[in-house]
Amino acid sequence: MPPEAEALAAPAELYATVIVAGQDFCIDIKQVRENRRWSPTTTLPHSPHYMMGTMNLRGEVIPIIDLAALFGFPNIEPTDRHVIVIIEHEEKIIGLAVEAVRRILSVTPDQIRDAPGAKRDTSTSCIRGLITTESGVIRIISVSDVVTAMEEVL
Amino acid sequence: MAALDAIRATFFEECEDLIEALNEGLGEMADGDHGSETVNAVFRAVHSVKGGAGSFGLNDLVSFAHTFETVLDRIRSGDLEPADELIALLQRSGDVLADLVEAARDEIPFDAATVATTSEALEAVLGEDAAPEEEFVFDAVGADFDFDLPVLDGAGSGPATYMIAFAPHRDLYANGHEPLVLIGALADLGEVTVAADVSRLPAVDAFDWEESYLAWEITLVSTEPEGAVREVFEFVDGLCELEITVTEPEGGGDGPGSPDLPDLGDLGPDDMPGLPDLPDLSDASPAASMEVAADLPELPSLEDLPADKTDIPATSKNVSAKKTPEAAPAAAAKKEARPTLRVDVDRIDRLINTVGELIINQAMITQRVREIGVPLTPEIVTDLDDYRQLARDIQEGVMGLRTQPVKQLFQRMTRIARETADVAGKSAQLVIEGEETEVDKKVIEKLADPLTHMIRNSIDHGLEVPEKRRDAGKPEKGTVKLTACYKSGDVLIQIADDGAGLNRPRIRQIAVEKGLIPAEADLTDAEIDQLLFRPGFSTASSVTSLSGRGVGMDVVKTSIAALGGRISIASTPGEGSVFSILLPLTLAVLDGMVVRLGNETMVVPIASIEEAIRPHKDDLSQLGTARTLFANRGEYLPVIDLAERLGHPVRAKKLTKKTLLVIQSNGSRIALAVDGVVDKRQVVIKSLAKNYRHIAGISAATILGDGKVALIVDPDGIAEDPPAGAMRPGPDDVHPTEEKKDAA
Repeated sequence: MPPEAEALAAPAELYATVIVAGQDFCIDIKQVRENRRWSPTTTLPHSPHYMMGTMNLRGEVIPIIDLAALFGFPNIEPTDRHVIVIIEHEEKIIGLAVEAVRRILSVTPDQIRDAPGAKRDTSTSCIRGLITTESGVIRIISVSDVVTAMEEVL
Repeated sequence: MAALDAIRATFFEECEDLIEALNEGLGEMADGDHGSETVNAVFRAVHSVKGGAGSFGLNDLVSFAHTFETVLDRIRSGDLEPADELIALLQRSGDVLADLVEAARDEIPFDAATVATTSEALEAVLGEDAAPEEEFVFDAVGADFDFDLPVLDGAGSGPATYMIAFAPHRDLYANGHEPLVLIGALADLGEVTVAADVSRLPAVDAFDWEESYLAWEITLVSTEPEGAVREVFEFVDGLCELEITVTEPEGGGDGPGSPDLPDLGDLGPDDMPGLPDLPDLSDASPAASMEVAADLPELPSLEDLPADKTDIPATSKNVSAKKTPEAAPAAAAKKEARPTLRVDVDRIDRLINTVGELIINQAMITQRVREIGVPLTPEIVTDLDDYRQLARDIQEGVMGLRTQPVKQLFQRMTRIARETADVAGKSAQLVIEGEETEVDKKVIEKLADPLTHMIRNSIDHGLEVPEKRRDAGKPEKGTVKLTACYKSGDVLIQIADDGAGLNRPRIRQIAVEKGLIPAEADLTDAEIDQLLFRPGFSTASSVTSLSGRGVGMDVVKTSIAALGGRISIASTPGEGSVFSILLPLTLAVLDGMVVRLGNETMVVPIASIEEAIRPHKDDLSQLGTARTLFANRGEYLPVIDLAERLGHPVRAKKLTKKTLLVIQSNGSRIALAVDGVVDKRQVVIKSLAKNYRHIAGISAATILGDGKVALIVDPDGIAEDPPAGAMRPGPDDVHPTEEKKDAA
């Protein structure tokens, strides 16, 4: 069966698309642990404006990042409909607050384009690539860069 | 061979205990206790290490232990006087022995020069009649010296040796008999050595699983009559081939006490711990003993043995010897009948984590039930109470698993003190108190480095040289006291020296030179003492090999703080200094005061709170525009608004409407303003840095009954004065320098 063999040759990667500040972004699904409904956080002192605080995830204290604020949009006004995407990166567990989680994208590597100049700007330094779809361009969030941004001292 | 590896591992674990006993004994001897009990204990420890080491062919260890032991033996017999120099040598030898054990365990090279020097020093003590070589060779083989013991004990009382050839037929198994049970019954009669005869085993393809192929050769040394031995096989009569030959006890002539075995006279039942690991084998199946016996045929001891006994495998003999009635009480007495269990720390940690969850879950359930708002029946109230109590009991029990006495840690310090005094040219003794105090194992592990550093400091910087001490009218030998005790839920560890005390003018001068303080700074004594803990401060005017390793007291302070502890200094010129470390009993829970801060809830460690007061306006006075002082017990305390300090939005609220927590921190007191006190409870500490990072003024987080995260305040971090100009941060104004320092 030749068509299937061809599909195997270019393995697709799965991305979860999320809405941040009304726009489309996506996260590599391998780094997503689970999605949770928004629940009130505890404020973290001396933290940058994009740190929403921390919450309790089954006994683990995890920080929550407002992705919109991190990307330079206004801070979100969290409601019950907001979603926290729980990601895991190098043993750290972190929550990313987004407006919604939409669907799962299956993307082959050749569909991913570089995002030129992204690194030069703090609001785009966490974007590691672009995916072109029929409905528009979706930015891929680099989880490791988000974690680095969080760890960085102001 | 896995089995042998396991025995080896057990040997080294046992060695740890033996070295501990050795150091303890030597410590007592150094304190002037030369009683035979003490010397014996030391001798036994060395002897046991030697015995075990011999079994594993650790020749360097055996050879050193042997010389060491010979000296101890001479002290024991009164030939040698345990003068101070000799005891110092013995202590050094103890250190060398510990090093050798460690080197053998980790299979790393050891410091051959030190071993040789110490060994020579020991031999010099022994003088001309140092241990003859052949005696040494004999003794070096750990497995053999116990060999003759049962016979020695038995000489005269007349145990007979039974050689039993036992070959079960297939019917024996078919009738439900079990050879192991029979051999076990024999073992009840005396000492049993079992060798399996596998010669009739066919090739695998010819195997008939119902057939009986195995036979056993059993040697039994017993005082029981032959009839009793035959009785064991009564029920398998006709189901096996059985042949029993009896060798009657020999006379006392050329046996164990023969002149070519000079050491045997010294051997008593308490030499048995020499092979501490082997008793397990006595419970093992015949197959297991067979395996061990087969592993050790190359032991030279076997060739050295008198011919009439070589038929008894040495190892198995040791096993059985351990079971003799004479040996048992001695072993029991030594162990104090306190059975212990070695458990993987990870398992305990997992248990502790789960218990932490249980505690949180319990609090949440209780709160949820209350929130439902229905009237509670007395039963539910009682059940919830029981649940809370049970959860606490489990927690307490599990926490107890983690704690260990500080004894071993403190004993290591004895060595540090000795070595430091040697290098620094000081005469010093380390006095240890409260070594039975138990602390979390993790704390103990992490305490070793700071404590080492502080002991070195106390001796190197704290104590004066002997001449100066004499001039000051003090005993030439300086004393450093290392003590541990419980203090209201914490553990207090103190290092006190009777030296010159802190040289405050010098400390101040250094701090100025290094730019830590402005030259005109007006500092109190306590403030000057605190300078020691500042990064980049080191009092040693010359960098010695001991203290000047670039590690300062600031590192000590940081490590102690990382354990949730605090360190403070008290010093009196001419009389000495006391460093006090206050540590939590465990790292996992904390007694906290739950406080309100606007909409946030936070936890302040109760240990640091002296009192909580609603201030009267007469007690508050303004110092400039930014600072407020609170009069408390004749002292003016700076008021720090916790919300403001943490960068929360500042709300105008009168101080008289707030609650002030008087907090003791780094020797000074502050009044911490919070909106109100909610509760007092034990909270489970959760790391904030694990998923986020360290925050200035916050030590950790916890989860409260409602499932929400509450941050735990670090009083020392809060009390630390931020740099000038950063006194009144706006909501977005954070302290970059402070952050950087804390993150580093």
